[in-house]
Amino acid sequence: MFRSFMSEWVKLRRRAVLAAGASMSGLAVLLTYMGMYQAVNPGRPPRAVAIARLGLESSYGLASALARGGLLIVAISLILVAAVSATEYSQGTIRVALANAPGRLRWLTGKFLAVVSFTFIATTLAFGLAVVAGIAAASARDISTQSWFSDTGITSLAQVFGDTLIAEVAWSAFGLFCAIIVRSAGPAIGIALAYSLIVENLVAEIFPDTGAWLFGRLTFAVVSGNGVVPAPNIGSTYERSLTLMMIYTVVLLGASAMLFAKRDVTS
Amino acid sequence: MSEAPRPAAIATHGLTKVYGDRAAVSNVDISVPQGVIAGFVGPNGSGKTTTIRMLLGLVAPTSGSAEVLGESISSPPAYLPRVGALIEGPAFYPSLSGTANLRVLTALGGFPKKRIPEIIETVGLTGRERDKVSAYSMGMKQRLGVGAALLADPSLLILDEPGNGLDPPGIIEMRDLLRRLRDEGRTVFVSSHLLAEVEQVADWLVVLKLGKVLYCGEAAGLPRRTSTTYALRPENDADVEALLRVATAWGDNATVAADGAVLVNAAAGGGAAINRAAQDAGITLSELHARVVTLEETFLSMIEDD
Repeated sequence: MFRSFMSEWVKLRRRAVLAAGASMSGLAVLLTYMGMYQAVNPGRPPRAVAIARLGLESSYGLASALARGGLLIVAISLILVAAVSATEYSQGTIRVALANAPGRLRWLTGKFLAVVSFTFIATTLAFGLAVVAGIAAASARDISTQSWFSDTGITSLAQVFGDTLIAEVAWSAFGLFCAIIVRSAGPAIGIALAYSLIVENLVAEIFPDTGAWLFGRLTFAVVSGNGVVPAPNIGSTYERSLTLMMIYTVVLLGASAMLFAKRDVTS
Repeated sequence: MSEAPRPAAIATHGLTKVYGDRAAVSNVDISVPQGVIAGFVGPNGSGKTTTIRMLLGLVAPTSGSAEVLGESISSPPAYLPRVGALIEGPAFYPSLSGTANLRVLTALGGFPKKRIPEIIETVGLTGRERDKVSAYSMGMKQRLGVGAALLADPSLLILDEPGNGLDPPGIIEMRDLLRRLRDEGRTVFVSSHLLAEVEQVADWLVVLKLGKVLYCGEAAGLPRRTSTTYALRPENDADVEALLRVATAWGDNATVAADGAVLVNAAAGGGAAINRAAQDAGITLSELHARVVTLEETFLSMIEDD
């Protein structure tokens, strides 16, 4: 497994993969900066995408600005894992890897852990840069940052960061599952995005009671950082959403492992 | 005293793979002794690649069994570390260099990194190893694929069409490389549709058609087509018609070729007899040669006869 992990890290230095990692930082910085820039002053009518100045100046201010980018970072992780996993099939490199690997499941585990560790590093970098951008933007707009670094502020920041990492693992598992099912990068990404953006919304529209059980909505509830940022009420508490999301993750990883171990490699 | 039989590098017993209602490989029994170059030949769709995939644990057989280097194919980790493989063409990460691609595999297989420059030199890619694989020609990718198979310092090499995309000097180098590997005591199992190439290097042959084994044994033992084509040229051009009559009486399908030579099919080893027949008819031959039946011709006659 360790060999597979190290081998995957050689591949992760490809330009396209590094660009995906950099895009996490870019989006996090942009959304945090925009959050500060669009802050609504007291007495002005609220705007859908903007956070009120008073909210930004609270202990949760920086965390709530960062959480806006959390879902996008999770989405990039999903795309990255689906792409690097499915490309092994479409390029035929999977047959070379498995002819050299000590075992299929060890190879898959090492690969998954390597890609997830890459997304963790990219996310950490993205949050770090977004914090710097947030401070700079707040200073430019005279937004007080005093409460951001209080105990509550730091805790909420850590909560959003931790929840984003947990959601990344869950959605990476979904990306891996889609890649193993369809064995081609484009369709794998397409299916994963179509499910999260279209199918879930349709299902929730038609059957409103299912909202508390849908993977994407549960992720939304988790990435909101246990109430740090307002999330749509899906009828599930943070703890329940987190538990369910973890169960789904284990099921997705188990199904991926079972399929990968048993299925013929004909690519 | 007879030589003890060498242990088998590859042995299959009733190996079968069925996709839907089509048998890609049917009841294949082959044995390849260690330390030989074994040619694995058959027309497209004969089941060569499916067999190779089963031997490497990529595809599970529907029925039957096989051993590679004495280990069952049901547990590939037991033998894969001693096997190097190039399967159905080279597959690499195009945006990585040749060296980086080999680094991926050394990390995966736990091979020493110092093998990489040695391998690059062995397969003739020195000077291009830092270029992206996307800039490689098909022949260069093929060389890198063979290099990747050699990283493990394997006892058994399984190469699927290693000559694809190579230019004539590259093919000669590949042939020499395969012989060198055999001489080092390794077993080389090479599938190819370039039968002339296989004929030049193989000690052992496995012939497959439509998923079934037509022949498995020493290359020298392959039953050659018994009929040989003789080319005869009379010293005097005026004797061509008379020579054609002699040839017609003596063999089969006698014809006059565009260059004026008389061609006739007859039993192998009949050169002296036809020379005498021509002399008896008062014709002096300036040329008489028998064309050796190539593996390709034998192979084609085998798959046509089957």
